[in-house]
Amino acid sequence: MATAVLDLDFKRLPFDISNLSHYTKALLLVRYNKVPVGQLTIPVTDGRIIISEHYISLLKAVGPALQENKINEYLGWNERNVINYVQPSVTVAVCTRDRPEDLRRCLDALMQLPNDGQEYIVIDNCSSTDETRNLVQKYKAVRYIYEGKPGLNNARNRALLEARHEIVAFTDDDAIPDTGWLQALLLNFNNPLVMGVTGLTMPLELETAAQELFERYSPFGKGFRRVVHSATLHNPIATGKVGAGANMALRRNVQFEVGFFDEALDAGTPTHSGGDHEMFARILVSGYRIVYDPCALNWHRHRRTTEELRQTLYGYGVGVYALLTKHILLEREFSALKIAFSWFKHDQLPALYRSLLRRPGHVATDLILAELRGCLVGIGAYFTSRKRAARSKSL
Amino acid sequence: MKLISVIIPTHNRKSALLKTLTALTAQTFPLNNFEVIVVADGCNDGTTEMLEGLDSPLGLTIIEQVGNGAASARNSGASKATGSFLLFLDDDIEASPHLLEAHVLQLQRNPKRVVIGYLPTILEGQKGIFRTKLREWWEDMFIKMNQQGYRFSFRDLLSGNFSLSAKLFKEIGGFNINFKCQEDYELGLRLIQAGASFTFAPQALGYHHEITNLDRSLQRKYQEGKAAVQFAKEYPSIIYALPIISQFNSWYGRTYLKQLKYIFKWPSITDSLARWLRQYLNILEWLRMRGSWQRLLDKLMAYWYLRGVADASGNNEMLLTILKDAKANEGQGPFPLPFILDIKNGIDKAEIELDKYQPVSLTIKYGDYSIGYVDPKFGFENLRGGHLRTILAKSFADSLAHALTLDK
Repeated sequence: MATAVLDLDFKRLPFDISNLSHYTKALLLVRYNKVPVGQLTIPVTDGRIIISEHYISLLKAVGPALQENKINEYLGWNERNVINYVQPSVTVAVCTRDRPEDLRRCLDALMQLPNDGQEYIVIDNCSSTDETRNLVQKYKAVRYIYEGKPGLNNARNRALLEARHEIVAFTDDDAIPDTGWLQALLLNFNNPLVMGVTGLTMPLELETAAQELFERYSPFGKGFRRVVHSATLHNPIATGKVGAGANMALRRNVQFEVGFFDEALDAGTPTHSGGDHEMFARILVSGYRIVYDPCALNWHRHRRTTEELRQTLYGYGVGVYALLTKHILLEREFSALKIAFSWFKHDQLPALYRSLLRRPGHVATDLILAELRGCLVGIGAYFTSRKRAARSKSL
Repeated sequence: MKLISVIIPTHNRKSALLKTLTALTAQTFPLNNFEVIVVADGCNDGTTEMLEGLDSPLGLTIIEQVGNGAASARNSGASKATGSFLLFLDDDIEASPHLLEAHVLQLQRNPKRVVIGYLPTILEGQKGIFRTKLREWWEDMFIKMNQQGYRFSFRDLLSGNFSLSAKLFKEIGGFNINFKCQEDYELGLRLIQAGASFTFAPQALGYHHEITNLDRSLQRKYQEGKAAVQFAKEYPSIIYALPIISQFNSWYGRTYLKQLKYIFKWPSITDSLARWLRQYLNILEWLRMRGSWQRLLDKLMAYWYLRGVADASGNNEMLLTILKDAKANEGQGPFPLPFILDIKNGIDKAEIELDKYQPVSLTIKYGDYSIGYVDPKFGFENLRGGHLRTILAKSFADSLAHALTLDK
């Protein structure tokens, strides 16, 4: 059981794709002129897919975004373009911890990006060996920075401080960017109210059952239409559809206008995750905007083993509830209760139900229970983590 | 004779004015090629003395007048100006070093040009949701003008930082001094009707210190309501571009009409109610109920606007007459039949054709297929080639897609 991940252009669709004997399914990302317009999963038969057999489902999957892109191409018009646009300068930051193999792949891909004078930095967040440092030193264009305080948000804050350019683009060490990724992010910083831009994250591979489950249960992708998020559009603390830290860019002056990342949140702390979403919420509450643009594409390698997946889902539960607890107790954002309830009612409960009834395509019960257990732990985790962060500061 | 005259009306804001003048001494544009005219309008805080004692490298002319309002002050300034271009600047604008240069660069391209500068705002002491909304509101005004294919209207003229040729200003007759509020919109309307070419210049940047707060914004709505009646009396057709009419025509129309009745009958009671609801905003903010906060604020803004309308129109009958007049004028006016534009031969050619005729309304076709109709919009600039792609992409993408598919 594995799913092939394929990247196709609508204008140059092949008749068939073979050599897929290892796979039972294929996830197709369909683009039009490099712009991602839709995705669909189709079965692989005898190691081969014939595109025309699935043409109707393909058209259905790409429909609205395809038409929009065709019209814009015909008109030579782009909604992102403004009359007086000056492309901002950018620093690309990779935060990493003890993952030299992933980091190497990420850096190799970054070196393939077109050169617009961007700066590259790697923030090494308390790696236990010298491997990360030695690896980064092989790349002349990359600046190595060691951050001794554990926690992904500490690393992100360090990146905001160290960056020399106007925009800081973050990519996870286990992701690789598409060639147009950076330019697509930058094109959306076209007015002063845009404080952040997020992009589409697709799976790099779906080789194991754990990876397939993750992609089905909590995919990173937020659709194929560009959305300008603001406090006027929706509740600013409901940031589930805004994007994720694995693929985001912020103005460096976010640190002055909105503040730094909350060091009590995210990986490397008792809260495990949620640091990116807390920042998104604060940006929106402050009256700034975050653009989600599917053109800013990167590919993320999901965790390969079920045990890692369980840890990830547990971590999500902890992080989300830690964040919601913070919202309610420290910021009087009582609508956080509604968010927690609707997550439970619309996602977690149905998944649990399907799993207990062994419906096809269900997620294993213990994984869902791990996430729910994380939620319970999360309520207290924020304050544990804050105390720990305060203690490490005073030392 | 200088190339450009900077005209600054001021009213009892000595320290802000000093900052404004200081910023003008550090321009990239040569000092000896512009003059500065300060019109002290009813100042009694020692502004004139301060100006006379000022040792400034600026070629400074000082005009004093009794408080006649900003419109009149700007006209007085313009009458003394020797430059072939006029730049109007408010007394609380700190010019960036490139402001003058950017204005002149745009003005020299087209004698009918009206250049609107960028006024990023520096918020002073506002708090909470209002602060974030205020920033969004300010920036959005300029963000939309920077969009490709933006169609300018009279409401885009902001008197704080704009320039035009002295000849055009004279031809149009200057500001209408009867308008004490929204005199910039009124001038903007006459300029648009005279075929002036509005443009936005983000490099013509001046920082604007914003001191307003929520209560002052509500008061301002009252003034705008009053100005709207004045507008409607002078230009019956323009009423469709004012918020009042869209409120009447919308689904809420009847509710507003009822509200107006109550406002006419018992203004003191409705005022107390509005003030009480204003306090309720604070509770909503404390509870972080942003949506409800926004809806209530919109209602309060509408209330004070209508309150201004009611006060200025004097009585119910008169207001209804104004509205009826507007209704009767709807769809009339000097609008010719829509211009028919065929885009089948390519967008570039269609743009050239549109630039040649510059109609007020438009029927767009693709060969035999009908694409869409662009309404005449009173108070907006005529249609130009530069508008076409945006109109097609934003309003008629579906019908254009059908036409393109069928054509193949």
